[in-house]
Amino acid sequence: MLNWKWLWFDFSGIFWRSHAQLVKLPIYLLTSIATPLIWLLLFSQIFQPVIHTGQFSEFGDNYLLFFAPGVVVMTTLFGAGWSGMGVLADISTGVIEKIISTPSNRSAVILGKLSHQAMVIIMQAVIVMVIAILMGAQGSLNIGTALGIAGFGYLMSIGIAAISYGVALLVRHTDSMMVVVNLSLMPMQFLSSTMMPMSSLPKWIQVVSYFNPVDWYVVVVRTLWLKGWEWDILLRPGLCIFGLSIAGMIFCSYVFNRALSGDWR
Amino acid sequence: MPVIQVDNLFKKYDKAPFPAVRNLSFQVEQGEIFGLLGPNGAGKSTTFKMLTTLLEPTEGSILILNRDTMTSQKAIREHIGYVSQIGGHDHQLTAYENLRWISKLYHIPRKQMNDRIMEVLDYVHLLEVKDNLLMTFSGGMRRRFEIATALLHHPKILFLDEPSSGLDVEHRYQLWHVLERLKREQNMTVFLTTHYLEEADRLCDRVMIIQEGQCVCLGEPEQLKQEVGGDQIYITVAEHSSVITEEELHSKLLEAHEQLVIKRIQLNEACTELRFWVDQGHRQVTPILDLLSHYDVQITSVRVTQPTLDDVMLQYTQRSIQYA
Repeated sequence: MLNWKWLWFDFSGIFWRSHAQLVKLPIYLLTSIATPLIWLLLFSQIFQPVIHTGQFSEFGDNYLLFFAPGVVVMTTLFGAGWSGMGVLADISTGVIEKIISTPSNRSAVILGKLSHQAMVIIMQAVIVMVIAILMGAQGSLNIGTALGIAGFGYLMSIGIAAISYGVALLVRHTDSMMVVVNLSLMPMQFLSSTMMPMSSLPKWIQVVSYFNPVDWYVVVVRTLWLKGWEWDILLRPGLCIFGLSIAGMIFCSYVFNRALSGDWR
Repeated sequence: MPVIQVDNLFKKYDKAPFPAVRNLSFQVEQGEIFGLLGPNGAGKSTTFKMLTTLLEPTEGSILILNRDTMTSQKAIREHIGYVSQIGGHDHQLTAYENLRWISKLYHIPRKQMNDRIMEVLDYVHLLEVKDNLLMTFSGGMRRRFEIATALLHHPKILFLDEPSSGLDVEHRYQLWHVLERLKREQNMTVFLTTHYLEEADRLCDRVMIIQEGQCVCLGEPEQLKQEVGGDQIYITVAEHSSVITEEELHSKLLEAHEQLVIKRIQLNEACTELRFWVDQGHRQVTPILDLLSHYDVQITSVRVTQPTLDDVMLQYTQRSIQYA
């Protein structure tokens, strides 16, 4: 029988550990904030002229209004996608072995680590939103829609990071992990409407993007940012993101338990 | 009632050509320090991981505190302390911070957590450095810290995988002192793997030597050492001494001292060292020297040694290699 108090102990223990690590490594905090800012400040300046190509008519003359939601998506995608590297570090230092030798609940432990990762990503997204607003790209952003972006961002981060953790537990090597992550994240980013409006993408990419989690999140963030709570647009990608987070957790828990019960060495 | 009961344990990894562990059976009693010895690749770590529920056996059964490791993993983990070879802590956090998150995974209530952390740090003499980053700890301090993490939840059995590996003599002694105190003051059962035979000799009530996944001997260190051949007397003689054969010496010694039991005599190839295997070596030195004085033998040194676990290990592992 599940003991909820103990589940909370397991969740909060790992969440607290991740937080203590983050606080002790200010360089990580700085990098995680600086990267989206560089995207936002430099990339949007370089590509501002494309607004006059006629493909961005719904965004007026402000390229940032189109691109800022994309920066939130990229921050989430890359932050969550690379998080499996932390698991590899925990394997090599024996932390995973220590954790599984305790009576803790595996799923609660995973959720604790994932939730902290998601919290950091949401913080980054909030910073991006604030800077974007200050740069004149408010659109329909308000407390409600920002919370919506953060909420879906939490689910998206959980889903992608859980898959990343699971892959890390399967491959067990840094080099292999880098190859897998690079070969996954880059196509996922380019096979979506993150960088260009969907209408200007080739037909085959439009078809592929329908099944691409990155595009689900792009649609959600851009809709909330520009139009608000348009449920007829948000429902399908929103449900898909929710499903992704559940599927990611199941996959990660399965791999974690399988790694434990099998030949863990 | 044994606290660890292992019956016909067998483990074969999926892609390995040979089993890592086969037909291992033994028991460990409450309050006992039990050592698992063996050369590299003998199956020590695999056995250790199966006992600590981190690896499932292919066949056989393991009962820890009367609970099956296949069906009661969580319940077992609540009552065992685990210290792995590689540690398992965050070096960029302090000792206190590490113990804080680990104590949560052992479900130690918040109100008791602080006191318990202080208690275990004090026990391993690390209370004064509780706020220091783990990366500043020496190897010996880290090992003692790891034992502290394994004691947080008042375990009944402490499992240690090569605890003094890589430690210098001073830190090794400090670690042994902690383990001896645990046994003496808390009647803690300790199961350890090691390849330091001196460590096993000093700490363990019983040891088991495994080779190629199989038990080759099991018993108390003293008993095993006696079985290897009792004490040894080394007598070094000058090179120009007259030649004596082993057989001649043996028969003369038995003639002169009927009650003398000499298990074996060996003369080295250069005829400069005589080696006698006897019981109670110190009592046998005089009659042997008496006899040698009748020959034209110039004795340059006499030394009496007792067998060590190294001798036991070498004898049993070599023997099993020959028989393999």
